[in-house]
Amino acid sequence: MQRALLDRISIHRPSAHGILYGMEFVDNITSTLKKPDVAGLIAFLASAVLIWLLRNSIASFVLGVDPSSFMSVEGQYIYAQASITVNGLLIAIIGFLIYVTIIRDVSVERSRFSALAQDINQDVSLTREQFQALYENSPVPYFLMDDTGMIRHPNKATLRFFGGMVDACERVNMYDALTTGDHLQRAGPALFREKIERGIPISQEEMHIRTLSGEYRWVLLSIHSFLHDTSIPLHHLVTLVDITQEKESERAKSDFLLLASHQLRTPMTTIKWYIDYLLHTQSIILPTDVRNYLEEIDVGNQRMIDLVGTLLTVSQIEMGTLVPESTPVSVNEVIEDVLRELTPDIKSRGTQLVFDQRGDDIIKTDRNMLRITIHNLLTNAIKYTKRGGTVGIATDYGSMMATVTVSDDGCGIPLQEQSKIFSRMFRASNARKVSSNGTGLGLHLTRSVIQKLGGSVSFVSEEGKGTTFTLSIPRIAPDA
Amino acid sequence: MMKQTPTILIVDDEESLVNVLARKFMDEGITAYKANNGREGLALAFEKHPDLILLDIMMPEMDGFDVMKALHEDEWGKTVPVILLTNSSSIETVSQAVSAGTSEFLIKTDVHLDQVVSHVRDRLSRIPPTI
Repeated sequence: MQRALLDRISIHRPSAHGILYGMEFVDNITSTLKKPDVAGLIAFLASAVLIWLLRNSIASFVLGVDPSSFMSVEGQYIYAQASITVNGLLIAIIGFLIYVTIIRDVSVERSRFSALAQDINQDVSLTREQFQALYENSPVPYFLMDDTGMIRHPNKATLRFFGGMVDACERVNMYDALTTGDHLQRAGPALFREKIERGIPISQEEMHIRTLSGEYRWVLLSIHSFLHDTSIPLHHLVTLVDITQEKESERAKSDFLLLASHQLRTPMTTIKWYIDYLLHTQSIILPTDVRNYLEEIDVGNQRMIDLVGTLLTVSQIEMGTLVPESTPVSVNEVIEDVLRELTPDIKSRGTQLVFDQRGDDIIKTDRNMLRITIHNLLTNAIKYTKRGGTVGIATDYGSMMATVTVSDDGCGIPLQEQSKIFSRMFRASNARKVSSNGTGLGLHLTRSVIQKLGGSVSFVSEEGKGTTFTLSIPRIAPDA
Repeated sequence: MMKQTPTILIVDDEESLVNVLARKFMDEGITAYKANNGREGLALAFEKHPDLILLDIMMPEMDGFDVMKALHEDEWGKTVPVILLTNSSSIETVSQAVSAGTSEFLIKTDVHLDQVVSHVRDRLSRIPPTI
């Protein structure tokens, strides 16, 4: 019976042609619509739905039997067979449609990709040419450095910088040509070499380089190392920015300042020491009024000395030439040293001093700069506190920061002027009434200096009641 | 070795300062030789062998550091204590002073005359006396 049934199942030739025509139709749709994926998906979905809807008709057409015969048991069996056949055809059609719609035409794609590759190659060639031109003609010296430190492929700016042609520059060894150039003789070149060998990036480090003529020039040096890319034989791209002119200009300004301060201070020293001699030599008897005049001259001279010192320090900070040198410093010792200096003023004004020392007072900072800030605050506190008033100094030491607080019960700072108190040349209106002496630079200098040490200064004040200034200083200075 | 009456050499291109210092030291019983430039100072130093030298830094032709360098090339010169006088408080000057072989320097505008005398006396007291 099975054999008899199977004999009756035959593929009707026209159906095979129909399927082929269908696929071509779908292919045409997909290629003409130019969105093969979407069109293809729609096409095969539509085909699948259509085939499913017409499954009985297709089965009867393919098998050459009447659809009504599917109702009998025998018909059910035949129907089952036909269903399997139709489902198989359906799967084949869907698969074919997926192939022609989703899996792209390799040859089309290949030609498309090769066109794209050609475009990319052209772009890369163009980019390489542009890069080459940029490298060669850049006003910034670029060159490659090999592992032994020898210069390779110097650009034109490098040739100008070193003062030679390509072959001369390519005999320069950067490890020999570099120094830090500073008076502290830091091991800059050795550190530089170590950084190169470890592939640590070097970015805009100030270095001194010897040119072919033996002249030393200041540069900002940057190096990018290609240590991990062994396909590139030369491993370091070096950039130099020549800052010699700026450094020389800085140096000239600094030298001028030092010379000017020295030239100004010398006559002031003469006045100071001669007045010292006249006032403190027992064998010299001075009339009282002469003595008083000399004392006034001494005070005026000391103000000039202080002003020159302050101006010099402010200028050095603003020029960036005042560089902190950190060493272990006892804050309490610095305060005591300042108090010793100010003892004559403290005594003459009858100022009561309260010094609250506590904790481990050793910090790593620049002693001179710290002293400047404490000196300024204490001088102000004593100056602006009425006679017989009280000046308090307190210190506190945390794990990261040290604080020095200087408080007085003096004239305070008017509220509307407090925002300007750190401005250059500013003196509060009531301060000017208390004392005509004052440059208006002290607090500006204090803030600039403490910031250089990585710290800060703040205050609270009430007019007529007093002021408390607080210095906060890192226990280890940023440069340490 | 220090003599019975201590002697010092004052080297500074500012004559008025040299004069007032010398007068002060004389009043204090310390003999003071005077020189107004580095070369003169060096010559006087080798001639008189003072117990201590007060040496200005900024002088024309031969500055204080050059004088110190020349002193260190001499057997006696290496041993004589030198206090540098300066009106510069720059870090560079301080470092140069240390490199030149002395950590003793006075900023002129920061000290009174009797403080200069105190410093000198203190330094002289550390020299063994002449037998």
